[in-house]
Amino acid sequence: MMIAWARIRAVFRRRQLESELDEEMRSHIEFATEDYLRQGMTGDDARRLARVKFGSVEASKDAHRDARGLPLLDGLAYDLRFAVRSLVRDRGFSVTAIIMLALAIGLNAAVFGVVNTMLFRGFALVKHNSRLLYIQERYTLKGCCLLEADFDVWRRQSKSFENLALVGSRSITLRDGVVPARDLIATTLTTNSFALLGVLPILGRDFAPADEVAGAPPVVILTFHDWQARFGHRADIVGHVVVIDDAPATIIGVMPQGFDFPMHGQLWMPRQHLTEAASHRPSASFAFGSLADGVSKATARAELDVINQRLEKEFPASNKGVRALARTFSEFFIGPEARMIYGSLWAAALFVLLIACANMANLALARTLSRSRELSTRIALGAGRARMLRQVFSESVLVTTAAGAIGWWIARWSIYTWAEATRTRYLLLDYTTGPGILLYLIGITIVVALILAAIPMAQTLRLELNGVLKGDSRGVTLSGSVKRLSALLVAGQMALAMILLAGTGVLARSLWNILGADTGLKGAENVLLGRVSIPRAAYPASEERNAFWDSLLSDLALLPGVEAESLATAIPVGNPGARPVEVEDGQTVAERRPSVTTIAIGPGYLHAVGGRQISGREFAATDRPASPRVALVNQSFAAQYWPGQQAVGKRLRLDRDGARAESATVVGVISNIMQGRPLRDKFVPIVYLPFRQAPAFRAVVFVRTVGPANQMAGRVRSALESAAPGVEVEDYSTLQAAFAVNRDLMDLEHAELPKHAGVAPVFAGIALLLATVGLYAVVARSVRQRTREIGIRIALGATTDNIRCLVFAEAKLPVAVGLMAGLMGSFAINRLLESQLVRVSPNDPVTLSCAPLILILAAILGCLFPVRQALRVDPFVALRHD
Amino acid sequence: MGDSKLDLLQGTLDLMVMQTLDAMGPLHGYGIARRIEQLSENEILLNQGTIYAALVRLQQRGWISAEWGVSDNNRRAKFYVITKAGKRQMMQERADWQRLSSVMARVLSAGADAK
Repeated sequence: MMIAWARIRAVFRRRQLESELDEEMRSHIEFATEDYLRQGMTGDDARRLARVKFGSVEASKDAHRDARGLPLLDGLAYDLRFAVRSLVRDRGFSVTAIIMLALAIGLNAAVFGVVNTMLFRGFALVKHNSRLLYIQERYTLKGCCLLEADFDVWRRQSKSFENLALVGSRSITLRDGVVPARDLIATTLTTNSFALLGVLPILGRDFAPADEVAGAPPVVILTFHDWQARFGHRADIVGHVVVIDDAPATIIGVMPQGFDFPMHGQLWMPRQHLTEAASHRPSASFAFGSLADGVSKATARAELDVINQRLEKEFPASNKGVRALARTFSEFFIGPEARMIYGSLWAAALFVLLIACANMANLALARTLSRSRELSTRIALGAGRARMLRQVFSESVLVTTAAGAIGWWIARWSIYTWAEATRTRYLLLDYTTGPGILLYLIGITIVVALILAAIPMAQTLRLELNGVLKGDSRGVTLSGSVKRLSALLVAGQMALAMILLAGTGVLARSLWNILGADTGLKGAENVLLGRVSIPRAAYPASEERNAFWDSLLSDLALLPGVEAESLATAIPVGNPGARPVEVEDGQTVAERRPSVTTIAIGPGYLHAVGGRQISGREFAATDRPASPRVALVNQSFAAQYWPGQQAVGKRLRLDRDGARAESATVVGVISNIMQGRPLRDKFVPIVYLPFRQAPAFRAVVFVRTVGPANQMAGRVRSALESAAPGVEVEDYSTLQAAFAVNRDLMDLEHAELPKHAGVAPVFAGIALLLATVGLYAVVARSVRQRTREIGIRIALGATTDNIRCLVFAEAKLPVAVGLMAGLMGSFAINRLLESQLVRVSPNDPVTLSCAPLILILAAILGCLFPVRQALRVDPFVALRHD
Repeated sequence: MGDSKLDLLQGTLDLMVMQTLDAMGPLHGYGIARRIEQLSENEILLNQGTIYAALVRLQQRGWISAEWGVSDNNRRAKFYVITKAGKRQMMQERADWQRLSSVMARVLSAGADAK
């Protein structure tokens, strides 16, 4: 005990004890010298003998330190200080190593975080997500939905689930004294849902079973966000009464911040029981249940199957072929292949880490080679090998720790970026970077540190002392197989980088084609738009609505700086509804009526959004409810249904609310404007109808400004909002911004493209960096080993160019092999991407010729430093010493 | 000559140092080393530097204590003295050592007889 205390104290009194020890040893040697002088020796001999008798000062000091303090801790502090100094001296190595490892470690932790959330964690705050199964039913005809009657049977009969809950939705209109009316989606839940998820309200109470009973007073639970944004964080919110679909409903609770289940931006109401008949029809809901203790997913699935088979016999009419499909969180919400896709992402990240480690090993080898003389000298001076090993070890620990710290920052940033980039308005996942990710990061950092320490440590043990000191720099030699292995490794990295570059190239070009696609619009950045709605009750007649919209538009026209104004039922690029159309005297048969996109637009629409009139006229103020029906078509429609004919004057008939409307006369053809699926390179046929002939309660109002739109934004908005009492403005932005928001909702086939095009360059960049560093490490090591040879060549008259060729020759083979393998890999891999590509061939010649160029440039860069080193070899020094 | 010198057994140096301090009174590191060499008649391979590790070890156990002082020839040096606890420890170890060496002597002579 006392000894331990003394040792600990010694660690803190290091400085004093060290200087005392120095003094003691100095006086020791002086005593000895004086003794020998007295014995009649000469000054030099006496001093020499005193030192010989004393033995190695360094070793004695080490022994003293070990006996005195806490050898490990004390040594560690010493080793670390030494390691810092030696790493600072070798800045190139340290920076390269730290950046490379930080990227690999950070990427790994980020991918781990993303995969963990996607596959396991799921919704924020939900507990035991892995014990939850989400259930819908599969039909022989169509896969979706659920028969609510079946849910009730499962709930009664199933033993596998501790508890089962049902989640549906309904759209409601929410009114409140202060807050304007809102159309919202309400999530309807069985009252046990929150308890099952393990999340309880932070204010008020949870739903109680009585709330679900028919005729119970309506109650609502709010999201934290709603409580803050719409109800101003009021403390007395619980008990507040709002109006939902014209009936009063009481707010009974507020859920915790971040909880958004299963959809973003809604509120919760108790489940409404359907009529007996309706409960046997598919409804767009899903069930979820927590597995009872000790029950496996397979058991639960089997039990549901048995119940459903029984139901099939009992209700053959509704339940024929209906099977329950119980899926995990990731299968249900992310997709059936989620495990495969995100699993391989993880594998890829681990592979990158492995390559980074291999590169580090090569770098460390090159470094040990150039330090072999330093290390041997220190060993010869009496520093123990254990000490050397510890020092080499602490250097790798230092490098990996720094890399881990930077990696943690990279990981957090990437997860945040990923969460932002992939958030949709439907699914909000819990991407908070918690201690789990930190632990994972620390874990891999430790493993990396151990791997990295092992290699130079092994080399240090094998140092051939005598050889090195005699001047043979090859104290550390490499066998041919190791060399071939590392060359192969570099070739592999080159191939990987090439494949990733080529993939990135075609994805980026696809994205470019989408972003740069002709939308048929001009000056979208100068168009302000807002979704305006008016209260139904205030404008019951269509003429009243027309009067409102007309006066709104004329008010806007009077604002200074407004160039044009109009309205429509949908924004360009958005996805409006389609209706069956019958084209008279055209090529479509009356029986097979194709569905065609329709939009109602006001006068001046073309000027406002930047389209062009091709023939005929635009809608005019005279096209009103009572006047003859008219329509416009776009070029695409005209070309498809009346090819080579004059479209103006033709007639077509559209269905309206399921019934056939009277036929309309085409009065003009306008230029194609992107609508619906804008990622495609072709425009869909569109029929435009006059807004005035069927004025709606809601419309998108467009205002084209003369100057920059943002300078006008405030004035236009207040003009819209103050147009009449009860008017609401939503989604207020510019047309250009609306594109970006809508892009992910428009073309589902390519919805993943921006995500892929965003992730691919990151991987490609890291792969390229790794390949460059890998090549650098191998070439640099080889140059260090060949210093003497290079010296001789220079002495014999080799020119700068000769030496350069010599170095580049080292790189030639791995690069060439890597390029070939990469090119072949690209042909194969890019084909898998084909479904995501837009107007780019998977074997895009531009990409496939640029990628090798970039790679060769990177390879040259990797060789530049070793070349400089080789050129700096001084033949005299090289020959004399080595 | 160097080849035939004895390597020090683990722990023996500590005992020698204590014995020396007990016999000679306060001594500095060089004095202790010198004394051990003289007594062993140069039979022991002693790097004098290694004595300092032994000194700090003994000090931490409380068996010797140290103080800075001035030597006969006016040189500043650290002087070591054996403590009471050190004396007890020394007696103990001396007894152990004597028992061990007599056992060793018996075992080795029996081996020599058998030849």
